[in-house]
Amino acid sequence: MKFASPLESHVLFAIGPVPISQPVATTWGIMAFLTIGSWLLTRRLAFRPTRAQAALELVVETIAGQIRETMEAEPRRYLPLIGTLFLFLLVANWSSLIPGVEPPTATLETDAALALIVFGATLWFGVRALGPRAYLATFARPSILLAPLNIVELFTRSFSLMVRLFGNVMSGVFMIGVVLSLAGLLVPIPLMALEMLTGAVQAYIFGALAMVFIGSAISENGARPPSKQESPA
Amino acid sequence: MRIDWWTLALQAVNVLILVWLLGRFLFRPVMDAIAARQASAQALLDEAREAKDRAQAEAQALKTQNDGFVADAAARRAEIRTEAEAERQRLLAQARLEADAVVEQGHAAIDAERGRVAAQWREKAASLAASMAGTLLARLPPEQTVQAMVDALKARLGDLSEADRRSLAAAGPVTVATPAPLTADLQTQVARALGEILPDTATPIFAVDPDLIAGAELRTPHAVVRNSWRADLDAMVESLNEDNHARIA
Repeated sequence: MKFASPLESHVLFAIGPVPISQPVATTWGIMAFLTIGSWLLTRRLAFRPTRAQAALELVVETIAGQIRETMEAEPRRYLPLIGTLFLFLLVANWSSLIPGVEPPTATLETDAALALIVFGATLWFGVRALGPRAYLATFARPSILLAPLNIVELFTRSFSLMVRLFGNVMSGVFMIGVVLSLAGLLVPIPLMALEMLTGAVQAYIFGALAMVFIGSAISENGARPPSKQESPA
Repeated sequence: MRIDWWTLALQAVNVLILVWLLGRFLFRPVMDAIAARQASAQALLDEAREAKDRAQAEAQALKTQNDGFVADAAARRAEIRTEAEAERQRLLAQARLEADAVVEQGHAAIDAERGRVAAQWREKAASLAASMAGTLLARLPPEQTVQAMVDALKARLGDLSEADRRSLAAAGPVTVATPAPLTADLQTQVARALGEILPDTATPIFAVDPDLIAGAELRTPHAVVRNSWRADLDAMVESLNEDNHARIA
């Protein structure tokens, strides 16, 4: 049995010169699911919340609380980015449970795009919070001699984001595919449950690291936010 | 390994669009709803705090008012106590004065009663003395006693001034009262004696008055010359009464 390379994307169709690959199409589906679901859930928000609204508020408030604790900042400005990253990664990782659907996060381009967004957001929020000069000055802390290392770290930690997410999700999907091809229908179920756990953990880790990176950028102390350290996965 | 840059770019754009979409349809409405609920809860808390502050202020005002009432009541009680004490002292003084007056009146009444009783006893003693004297005199011959009394009457009339004797003689018919009827001789003797002392007088009239006990009295329409034991006893009783009044006073 021959497996498709996880490092290659399959083009489904093309819109003019733009090829539309399978991860992009899956992402559109996830976007539609999340957007329509959000619209349905939030179109009738009431002062006295229903159970669904209460659960939704619980999720949003939990993410906001994490942002408040990790970044030590008001979460309203950062909530759309961090919350979207977490929810998208969670749904994308769990989309592998749907037969025939390959999670977009199992492709390098999607993870690279996400890491690139976090990289850009780190620069954007850092400059916006501190100003260009002060933000650049953070790279010279605690010593000017460490400035090259800090600049390299800025890229490498974004790269590590991409690689970590890609490796965990791709390996899980690949493992399930191998076991499924060897042992039949029911055997991969424990691995799929493990994949759910892995997907949730990776979504949380990606969002937490994004908060740490952005939090360190908006903090005048420089590379490290005051409350949380970067945790490898 | 080959990077599909179109996919990378599309995925980046997709995620950015999703960030906007979820911010528009999920996070902002939910955060707004949470903020509205928090604002409402905060408003309720603020309102409750204001109500609590108002209640505390009212309680403080009531406490201050109550303290004022208590102080006012204490001041009024002290004032009433002072007034009551003054009134009690005044009433006590008045009662003491009235009691003293009553005691004084009682003493006066007792003294008056005692004087009255003493006078009664003196009168009784005088009556008893008169009775005893009468009884004793009855054992003597009437001629001796009458003669002695007539002599005494003559001496009494002799003690009067000439002007008194003349006015006595001019006062009208003279009555000679004796405790027992006089014999004709005695009457003649008395009339002769009166004619000597009071030459201008008419023939006397003789009357009997047992109350005189002993002696005789010379009575005219305007004057009386008393010379009897009765008169002496009355004089003695009068003198005793005067002495008693002088002692009480």
